[in-house]
Amino acid sequence: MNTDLWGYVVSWLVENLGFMVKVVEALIAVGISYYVARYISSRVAKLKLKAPPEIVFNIARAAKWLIVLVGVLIALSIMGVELGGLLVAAGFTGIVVGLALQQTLSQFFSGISLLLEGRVKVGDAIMVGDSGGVVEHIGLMSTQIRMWSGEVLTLPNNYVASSNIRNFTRSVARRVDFTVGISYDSDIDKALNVIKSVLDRNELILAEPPPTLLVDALSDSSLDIKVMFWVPAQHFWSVRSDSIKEIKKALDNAGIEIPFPQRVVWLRQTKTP
Amino acid sequence: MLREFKVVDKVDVDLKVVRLTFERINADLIKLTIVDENGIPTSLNVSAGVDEVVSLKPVPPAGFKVSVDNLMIKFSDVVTLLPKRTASISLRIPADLGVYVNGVQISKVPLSRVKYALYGPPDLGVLCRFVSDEIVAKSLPQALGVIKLVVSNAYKESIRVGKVVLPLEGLGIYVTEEDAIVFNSINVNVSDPNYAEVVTDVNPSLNNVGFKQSFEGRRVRYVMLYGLV
Repeated sequence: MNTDLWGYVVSWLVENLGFMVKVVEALIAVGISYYVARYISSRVAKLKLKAPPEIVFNIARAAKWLIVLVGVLIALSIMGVELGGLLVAAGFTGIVVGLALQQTLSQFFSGISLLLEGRVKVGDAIMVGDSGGVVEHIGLMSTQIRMWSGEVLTLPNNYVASSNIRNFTRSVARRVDFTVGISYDSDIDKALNVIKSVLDRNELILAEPPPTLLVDALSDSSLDIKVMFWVPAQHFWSVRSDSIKEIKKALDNAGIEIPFPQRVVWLRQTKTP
Repeated sequence: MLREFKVVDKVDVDLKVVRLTFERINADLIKLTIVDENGIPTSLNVSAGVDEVVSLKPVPPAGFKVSVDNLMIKFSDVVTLLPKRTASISLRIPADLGVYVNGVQISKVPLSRVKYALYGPPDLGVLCRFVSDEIVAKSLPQALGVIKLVVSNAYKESIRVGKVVLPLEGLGIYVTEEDAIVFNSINVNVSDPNYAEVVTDVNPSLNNVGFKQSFEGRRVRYVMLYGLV
């Protein structure tokens, strides 16, 4: 029995020797292409190009899979598969798959668009829709943002590409706007001078463009002064907070009241007969 | 402003707008406390032996809380320059104070109110240290130094110059025998209202004057692309 089986295997190998050689050649082709792809990809990733690292990373990855694909096509050709027919079939399959994977392809091309356009880069502080944080990774399919609260938010690239993006890192300076209300009894000019001197004292409030103070509105309970000034972008929140605090203190010291909404309630008592 | 001393026990340097106290902690360390014009102290410990020399020298203005590469000088009045003319403008701007131990700078202290300015749009522009008449008026008088700006108008029409942005990297400082501060001169070559080359010269702003100390200026170029007013 064993002799029969052995004889069968040997005769099968002899009959299919040509096929077996082709399989080995095909495997070698795929293997070589894989190792070449890995080598080229790692060399590309290490190139010192004048391009953001995420673009270099994605080019390296795309090059790797392209070379592997070429290897697979060579392997199929060795195996005797007609590539022309395969490509035609792949074309039809591509249409079908394209329709089925509209969303995925949209993400993919949005990713390429984001990378090439350079609207956002790794390390940029951005707001996409209502979500804000620092960009940690831009892939071909999705973008990862480390939110201000620490969580990592992964956004599909088609969403990022079609959203309004506010990039805070691109600007060296940002404008701070807030409103200060003073009572109607207060001296407006005095209040303006007090606020101006507070802004002048702060090193981080830019002298150019100069701060702007506008008497903005006659509100229900207060006379509103709009305060606008520019600060270095990285100091935006701290300077905003400090200046509001300092303005409050300075107005208090100058005897200028910051009113709060007041409502006078009249209680009418009906006389009982 | 030029001072050299050894810190055996405690040395106080009161410069009115700022107070520096050097206090020996042990044989190897001194504590430097800087109290600014608002009375806010900052301190640092520095390795300096009893025999090591601490010196105070004027240094070109620089950034403190903000890193800057340029200085914006705003003129009190806009200067109108006719076509193909050159004009020299001499101004006084404040220097900062460098604190050195054995010739190595360990700290710098502003001797004027520190303000910054944005030159250009927020995304493409640069942040600069800012000097104006108002800041000069509130500076320590001994910290003010002469700077000469040589402005040339190569444009076919007259141009108005209200500010100059110069590269701090090329700014040098010289101290005369009388302890006066002099900066190197600056050439401003205006090609059109939105293109001016500002080049720091290697020569001091005052000629025929003896200097006892210098921090040599270098030829460095900055192009002003966002207007001169």
